[in-house]
Amino acid sequence: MTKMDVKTIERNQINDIGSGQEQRARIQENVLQARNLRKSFKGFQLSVPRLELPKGFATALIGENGAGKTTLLNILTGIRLDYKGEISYFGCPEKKIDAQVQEQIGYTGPGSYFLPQWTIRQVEEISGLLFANFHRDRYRALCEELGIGGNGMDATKQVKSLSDGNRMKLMLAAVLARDTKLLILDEPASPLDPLMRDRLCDLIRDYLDQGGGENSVFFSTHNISDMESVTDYAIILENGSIVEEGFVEELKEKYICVKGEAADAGKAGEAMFSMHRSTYGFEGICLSRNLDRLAGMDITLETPTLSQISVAVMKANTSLGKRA
Amino acid sequence: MRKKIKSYLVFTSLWYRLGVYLALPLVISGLGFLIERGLAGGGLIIVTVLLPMAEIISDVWLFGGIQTKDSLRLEYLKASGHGREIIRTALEMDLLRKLLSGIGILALFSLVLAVGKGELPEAAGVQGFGILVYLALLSYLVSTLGTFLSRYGSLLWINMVVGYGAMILALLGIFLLGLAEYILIIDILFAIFGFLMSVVAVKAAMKRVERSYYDE
Repeated sequence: MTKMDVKTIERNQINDIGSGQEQRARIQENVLQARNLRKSFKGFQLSVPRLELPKGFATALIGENGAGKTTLLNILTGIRLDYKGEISYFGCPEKKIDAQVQEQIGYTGPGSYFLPQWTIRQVEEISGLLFANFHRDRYRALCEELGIGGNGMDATKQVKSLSDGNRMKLMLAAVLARDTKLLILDEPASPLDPLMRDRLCDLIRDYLDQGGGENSVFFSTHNISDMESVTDYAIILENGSIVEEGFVEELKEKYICVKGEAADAGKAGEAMFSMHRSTYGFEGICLSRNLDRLAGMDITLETPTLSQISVAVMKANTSLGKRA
Repeated sequence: MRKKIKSYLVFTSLWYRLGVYLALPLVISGLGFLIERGLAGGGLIIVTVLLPMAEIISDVWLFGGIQTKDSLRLEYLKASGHGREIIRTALEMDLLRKLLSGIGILALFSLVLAVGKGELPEAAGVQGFGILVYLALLSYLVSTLGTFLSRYGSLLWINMVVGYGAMILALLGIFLLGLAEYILIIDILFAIFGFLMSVVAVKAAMKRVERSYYDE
């Protein structure tokens, strides 16, 4: 099997064994559904024939820089309206993006999210104006808990004086202080320190638990390892298209991590999905169904991490180094 | 109304409020009094002429560059169904604030001058009030026109250039006082122009906000 064959998108493939099937059986509906999403600009095209986010789970959107993650998230949150296609929310085909739907979505994004001169207190004020379901007491408690604005929380601190990490924490406090059904978080882990990333995973898990199966989270990330513990479902986006998706457990059944002797590297390479060679041997990701092609070799099999799977899939689909 | 004021105030920083609501009236009135004292007149004209300049320059810290392509990528506002409404309200309230503070500063300045000269405000008569209203409307119209133009840029020097231009325009407008006998008609015309200019200013900014949902 060549890499081009593997590039074929196997969307919504339901594996017939294991915990992936159990998870899929739990799904009653999708929190968000999109059909034939298209958005073109400056030589780039986002093209998503079908997107379904399982309700009650945390879904990670993974992809290299410029893959179209932020564009996709902006479209889903109603920040960008220049696209073709259909999106429906909360399991109702007729529910399109409007004020009511936006009220149920908590969004954090990069760049100029808040006005730079806003203070922590002003963010509270504006949030109260923007969203009917905003709870001031919860916001203050979250600011305090997350240590935004230093010890004792200086509410007069301006957004522009906060570090990138504290700015992200402030965004999280503002969205978690609301009663929402869906969180859409654009790169929430990137500006955070390792301790806070761990806390972020807890916050996401708490949010899902509190919703009793009604709350869902969709986040983009480059920090796959840090976010793996909270990721239920993963979507890998490359060059504006979804190239792989599935429950993490399903993906870990579909792919397998293989380590072997250097002498077998050449022959193994033909069956492997992605592979690294070294003086001592090789290591890489192989599709489970291709494992029989490695028969007779002295190999060790391991369950891959989501990060390993993602990198392998991205490597197989990247346009980096192919443009020239 | 409280919600509208809140919508406007969230766009202002503490420094902006201190500068525009407190320092600006004090400094402009102070300069007016200095001129009045030094030249034995002209204080009111100076206040009328300086007000739009100050308003245009200070706008760079409020809605500066809102009509430029790269402006207002305010995801937080846009992620709410009420975001557009809040921005529109803030733009409208800003213009209302400009009008009211212009009227307030000019009226207070005239009152203090009159009291200082031992004159009763009633002595100014209908024409006197008409002239005061004219100066306030002239200041507002020039200020709104300049604000509208300067928002196509986002740099301080652009606002300064437009501000100086507005000052000259306001100065030219003072010559219309030569037609004092028609002051009520002129007031009505300036009120209409001021209203139309306000509509244009808000619409231009909102058009840009709307397009930010579509533009790259």
